[in-house]
Amino acid sequence: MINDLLAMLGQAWPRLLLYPGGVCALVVLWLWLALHKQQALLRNTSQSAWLHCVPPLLLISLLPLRGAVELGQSLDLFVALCLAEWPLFRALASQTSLNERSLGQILQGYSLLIPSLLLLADLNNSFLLGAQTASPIVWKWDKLGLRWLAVLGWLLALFPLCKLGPFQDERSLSLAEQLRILAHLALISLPLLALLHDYVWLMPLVPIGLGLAVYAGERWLRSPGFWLITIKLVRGALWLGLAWLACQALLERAL
Amino acid sequence: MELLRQRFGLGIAALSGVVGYAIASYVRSQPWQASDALWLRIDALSAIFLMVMLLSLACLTGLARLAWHKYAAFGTLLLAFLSPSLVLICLAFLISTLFWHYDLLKSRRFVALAGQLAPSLLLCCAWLGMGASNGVWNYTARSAGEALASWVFALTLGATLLGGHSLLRHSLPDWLRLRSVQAEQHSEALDWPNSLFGLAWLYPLLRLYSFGPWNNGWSLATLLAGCALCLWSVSQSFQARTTLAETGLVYGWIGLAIATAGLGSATGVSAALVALICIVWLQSALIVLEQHRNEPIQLWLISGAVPITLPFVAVWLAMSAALGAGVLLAAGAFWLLGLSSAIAILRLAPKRTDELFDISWRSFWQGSGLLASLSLILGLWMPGLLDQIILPVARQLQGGLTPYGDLTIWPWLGISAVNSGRQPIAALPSLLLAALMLVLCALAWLTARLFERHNDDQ
Repeated sequence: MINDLLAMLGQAWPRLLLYPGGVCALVVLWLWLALHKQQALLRNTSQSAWLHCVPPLLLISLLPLRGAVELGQSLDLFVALCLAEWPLFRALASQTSLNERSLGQILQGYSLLIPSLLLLADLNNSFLLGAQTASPIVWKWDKLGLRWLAVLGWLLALFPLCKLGPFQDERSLSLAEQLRILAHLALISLPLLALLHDYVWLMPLVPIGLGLAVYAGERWLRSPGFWLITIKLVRGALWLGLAWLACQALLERAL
Repeated sequence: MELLRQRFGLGIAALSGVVGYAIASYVRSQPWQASDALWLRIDALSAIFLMVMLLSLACLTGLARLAWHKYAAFGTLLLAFLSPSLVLICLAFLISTLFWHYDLLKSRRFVALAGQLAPSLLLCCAWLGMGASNGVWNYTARSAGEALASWVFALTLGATLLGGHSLLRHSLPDWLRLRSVQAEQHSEALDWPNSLFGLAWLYPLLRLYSFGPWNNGWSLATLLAGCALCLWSVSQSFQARTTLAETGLVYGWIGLAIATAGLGSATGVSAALVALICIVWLQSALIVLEQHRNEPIQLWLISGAVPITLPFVAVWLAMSAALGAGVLLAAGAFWLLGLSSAIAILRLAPKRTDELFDISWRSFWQGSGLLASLSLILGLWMPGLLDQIILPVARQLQGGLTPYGDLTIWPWLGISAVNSGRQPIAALPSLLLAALMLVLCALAWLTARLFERHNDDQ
């Protein structure tokens, strides 16, 4: 067993030190901070606070991204998500009293995140991260639609979870929490890239969507009511999709 | 005196853990059957339940003052796990419930006593009725599978749900509520000995797999009941504003154990057994947290938000069992339970400490640090634990289980769940994660030093 462990560590070091973790992750983190004009965070973070960056960094290092060293297997979504969420739970544990508003936002995020991840897992027949990057050979319109719905739900869930858009508050985020946002973005890039890879003609939809989002941003993005309704609608659609798949599976097993 | 009792409880807990582990390893490859006494038999399932109940007893001894009849109740209950005879099992459950609620008997509150005895009576009706109608008096009998009818199953499931002190507790009038006199006199916080004693009621349900395979309807009913319990507990824990004891968290975990047992795969049975061990640990953790509310405690280590702790591994196992069986909605319920139990523990006020390794030695010996490290050790060593004592249970019950979900141990230095086509569907490389985290900690420390020096130079 010790041999296995050492062999694994030997295989994993380029991931930990160079790409996707290590130097690469630090550079991306620096760019992200520079975008928000918060480079000082890197210097002002104490050593023990740096330790809280370890789990999201580990997740980024183990992601099955293209060009990274093969490790044989991959983590599953549940473990990956818990690694990414460590800074959040740390922050919750150390707050003197849990802010009701932030708790509500977390619940709102998870009520979208859980059904969308389960939907993806059901469509890919696996919970592993590696399976989320592969696209099946035969696409049916219903499965494709459900897949887009799941990714949309996931994307929407990131707004309340990472306090983006109308969910922003005044509290400045720590280094670990910034890294958490990056880990979330890296994680959602896996199914998004898998979806776009087989359908290159869908690529133009991304800038169009972004343009629409910016246009919508002028009018609706700042109004919480719009978000609440969207989240409720998508959540309902996700649970309906899950229930539909469950019924199909039940019928298959019964017949 | 208090400290002495806690140390004594700690010692007994360690001893019972070791004894249970030894028995479980002994019957790992095949059940032990006494050659001249056919009523004595220990297989892997009985060994695990012996261990869990011994651990519960040790926790109770360490954390509260118990009357003699509670010990007698646990003693008789242990006899139930040692025998294949249906009569002996039913009698042991009946007598131990009588002992457990001896105070009701003494104060002649017979109506309340009848409410408490209901699960045992249901079990007696089911199993003795089965014996009387089919002549099966032993779960190892050849015709046991044919004797297992729907009414037997329904009564056993009812007994498990009632005995887990879960369904009736909140929905019925006071005289029927499954609470002891002592608990009524104090607050609901004192209800926890009952929930530990109630764990034994999963034994009859899991034992049904020894009789033969379940049909799909029975699995569905068990799954629905368990998931309903999970979701009820989740809603309770989000509504509760004050103490943990009221959240009914432990009942949700019992629901998780029942639901995963209903999945009827090797992963499901393993998940149910790990959930049992987790409940004993969680209940002791909650009590210690209640007792030391004002001390700095590493709540995040106890909450199960960390990927290699015991509650996390238990939820992971339950979710992969649900995925293997293709029941995604149940996986959602388990995930919600894990999340709500993590948040409920984190909501405990006050929390002062922000430092990573700020556990004082005093609080360590009084339990909180000890419980946190125990959860880490058990979570890390879960592949070994599964391999040694928990998967053998699934192997010995194989005749009654479905192939929808199994576990493989040690690929990638952890646990991996596979579906019926032996394809991996979920992976938790616990030891590898821990090792990589150590390496990354060193790297993060170096980076922090680098930036610090840069700061100093400027």
